[in-house]
Amino acid sequence: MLFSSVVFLFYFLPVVLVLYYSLRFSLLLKNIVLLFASLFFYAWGEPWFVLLMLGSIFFNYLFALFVDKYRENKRAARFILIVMCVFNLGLLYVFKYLTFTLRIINENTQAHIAIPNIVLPIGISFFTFHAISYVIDVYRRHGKVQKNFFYVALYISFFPQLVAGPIIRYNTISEQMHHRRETWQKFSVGCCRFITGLGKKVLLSNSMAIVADRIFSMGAEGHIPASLAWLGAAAYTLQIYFDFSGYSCMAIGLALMFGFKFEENFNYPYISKTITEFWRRWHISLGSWFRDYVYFPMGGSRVKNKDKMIRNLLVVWLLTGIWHGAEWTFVVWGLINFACIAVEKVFNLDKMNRFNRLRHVYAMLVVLIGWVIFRSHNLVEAGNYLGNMFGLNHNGFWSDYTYMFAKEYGVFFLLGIVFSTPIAKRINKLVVDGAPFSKSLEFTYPLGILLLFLLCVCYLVKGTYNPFIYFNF
Amino acid sequence: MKRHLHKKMITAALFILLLFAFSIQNLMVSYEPLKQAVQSSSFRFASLKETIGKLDQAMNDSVYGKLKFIEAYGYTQVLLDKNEESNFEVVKDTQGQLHYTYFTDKPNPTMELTERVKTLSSQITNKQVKLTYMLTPDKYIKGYTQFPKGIPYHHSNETADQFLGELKQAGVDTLDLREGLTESGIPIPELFFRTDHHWQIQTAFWGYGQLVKHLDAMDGTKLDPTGFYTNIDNYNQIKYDNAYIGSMGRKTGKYYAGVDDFTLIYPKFKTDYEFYFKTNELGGTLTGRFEDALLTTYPLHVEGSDYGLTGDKYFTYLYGNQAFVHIRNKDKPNGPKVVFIKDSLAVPLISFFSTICSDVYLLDPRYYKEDIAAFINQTELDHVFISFSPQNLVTDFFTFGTKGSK
Repeated sequence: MLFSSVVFLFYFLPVVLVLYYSLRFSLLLKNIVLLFASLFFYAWGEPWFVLLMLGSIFFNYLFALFVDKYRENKRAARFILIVMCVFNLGLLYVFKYLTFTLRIINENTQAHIAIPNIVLPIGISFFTFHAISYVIDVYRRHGKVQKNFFYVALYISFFPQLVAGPIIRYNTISEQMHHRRETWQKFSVGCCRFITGLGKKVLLSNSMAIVADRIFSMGAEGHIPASLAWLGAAAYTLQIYFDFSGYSCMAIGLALMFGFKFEENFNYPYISKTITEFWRRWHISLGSWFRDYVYFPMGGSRVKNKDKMIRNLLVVWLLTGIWHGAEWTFVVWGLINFACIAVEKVFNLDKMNRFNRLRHVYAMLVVLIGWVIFRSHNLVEAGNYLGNMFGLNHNGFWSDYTYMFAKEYGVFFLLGIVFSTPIAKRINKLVVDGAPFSKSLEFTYPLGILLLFLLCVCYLVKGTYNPFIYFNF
Repeated sequence: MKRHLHKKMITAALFILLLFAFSIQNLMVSYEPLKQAVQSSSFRFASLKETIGKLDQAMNDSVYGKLKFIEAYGYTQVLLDKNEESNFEVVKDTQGQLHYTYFTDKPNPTMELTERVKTLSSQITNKQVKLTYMLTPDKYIKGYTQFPKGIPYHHSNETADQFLGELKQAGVDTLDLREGLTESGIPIPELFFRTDHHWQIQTAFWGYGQLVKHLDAMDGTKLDPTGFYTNIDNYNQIKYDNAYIGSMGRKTGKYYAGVDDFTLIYPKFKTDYEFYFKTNELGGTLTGRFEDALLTTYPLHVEGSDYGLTGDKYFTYLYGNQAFVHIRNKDKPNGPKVVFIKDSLAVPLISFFSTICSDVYLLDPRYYKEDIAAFINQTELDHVFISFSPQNLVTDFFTFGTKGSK
């Protein structure tokens, strides 16, 4: 089920809210409502995979119990951790990477292995990472082992973060599962956050998706003029940001509506001046997951020589690339990020306080080129598209399509660029600080947000283009 | 800070009120469709996904005030000065007329279609039976219609030119109703409905006249020697102002491109028909005058369903697209016997053409699943017409003339 859908907005959400708040007297009952709602939410997309997810949760629940029990026996505990990793990553491998591997084998050998048609369970990368972090956190004593399966199931399957994150740590949520207080204040902030996220997704991301998908499909078929290629790349850059940050916004808002507090997942990544900074601001929960469970255990940056640090970075970014999908494009995208971050670390570019504009242009150029590779179906397509962008295909510069897309979607481009910067945050701050216009905003704000919601509903009811990028990860 | 939260609290209160009010209304509207979806579903685990799909569809289709939301969506597109809406589902030309389009930079290949027409022609055993390809015009009129800069053009006219060229080379008789269209005397902006891809009824009537002229020239006979039947003065014309929203308008809502007028044209003179139609298991026979047998006035009377297919006034003629139709004109027993393998554009034209024919058969290959060549060979006919408009020059319509075709 998508947050940006009629079934979620007008059936699922009201019913869950009514059930949840009518059982306000009992935390246990409220948690039961949330668990069953989450399973229902997941089953709506693919009923069979609920069993898979529950199986994964059950085994990880057992792994955590065993790790806790045999903690003193280091070898046994480590063995359990290894089994846990093999189990989780094996599951992820079968569903996400097996066909890719077979394809590579077929392409590079005489083997003609039949490639099975494996459907990717929605959000498998997310719930697998949730599960791994839970067991490791128990092992590291970053959180108490959960003896009750029900709470592990609620942690991993909690619907706001189930299919597209943010990747919430067990220790962030475990306390909240047992002791949380819903307040009207939290609920209100959650509602506003949810509607803002919905607006980002439905109005900005989906509009940009139309431009990006059209131009990328034209680019995949042949040569397109440079201006059009750049416009398509810019559209995708905005699409992916508002798609994912919009979803995260909705997830954070929904969690608040049920009394939970999630960490922020985005912090205006497109204002970054380096790729290192970009990754501190983009998909923060994934970055910190890799940092805490891969980079730091390998030694991180605190190693004796820079070679090891580079090796550690390489491993992390290869994994980050592969996590996003089973295709060489993701590997190359991860390697580009690695190369930039490694150079920035070696030359301390991240800590530099000069050439800010130039550094911003550099960072955005790398990000944009990275997204082109990320968006392409294969490396040939990516190379062709980049060739189009830089005029290497004798493809000319101008096209009437460039004018048309810019004209038809100009408002969305403009809003996209504006809302990629902290302008709304700054206006909010001015309001809080009591700026002269703040009183008038007090009246217009509710109206504006409700109008935004109704506009989103218009787009949803109309059945406009509604893809969702991170659904596949 | 407190004031800052205050406005969010007011927003949340209003949002929740709106959400619940709308959800309750929604449930009331979708209760029956959901009930039907549940009743027609199996709740075994293996078919759960299908069941969920049905429920999801029912919820999406029966949103409370759906049409108002679509209209509001269309209005926002007007405010944004957009010439395309909903991912190029529909585009607007510089005159404000709506069009279907897609991205392409060249005509579609038509060799396969030509081959199929040639094969059908060769399959006709009675060599006295003539075959004509009648091309109805596209809404994009070359030399007149202009799309705003960059809006994609489907190249359907170029596809049609290429196709007719191939047919002529193959010796197939063709009639191109795009020719002379702008000199028809009908103001060019009124040739087609603004909100629909179909031509207006008066344009279809003009097309009927052109067809008669073409056949006269072809056979050297006079189908309408006195010009009585092709004279529009001998027909009643009833104009319904602001009464019609076409298929494209139904997608965009009326605020995006407005509403069309609809003119009903039917003979003033006495007529006597028998009309038989059949689509799947549904069929029937109607008899009487032109307006009793060949017209259904339901779409003209139905109120409150401007956006519903049942209110589609274009389908007033011959009950729209039926898989099989047989029109028998009892007043013209010696008139020609013809069959049309056709799409929807030909329908009103055929209605008028039936006034000078003895028997007219209509086969719509989208729904007619029998062998078309066999039908032609088993029926007493003088002429076979194939008529698909430029945008329908795709294999889905040319189901005949293939190996094992039907």
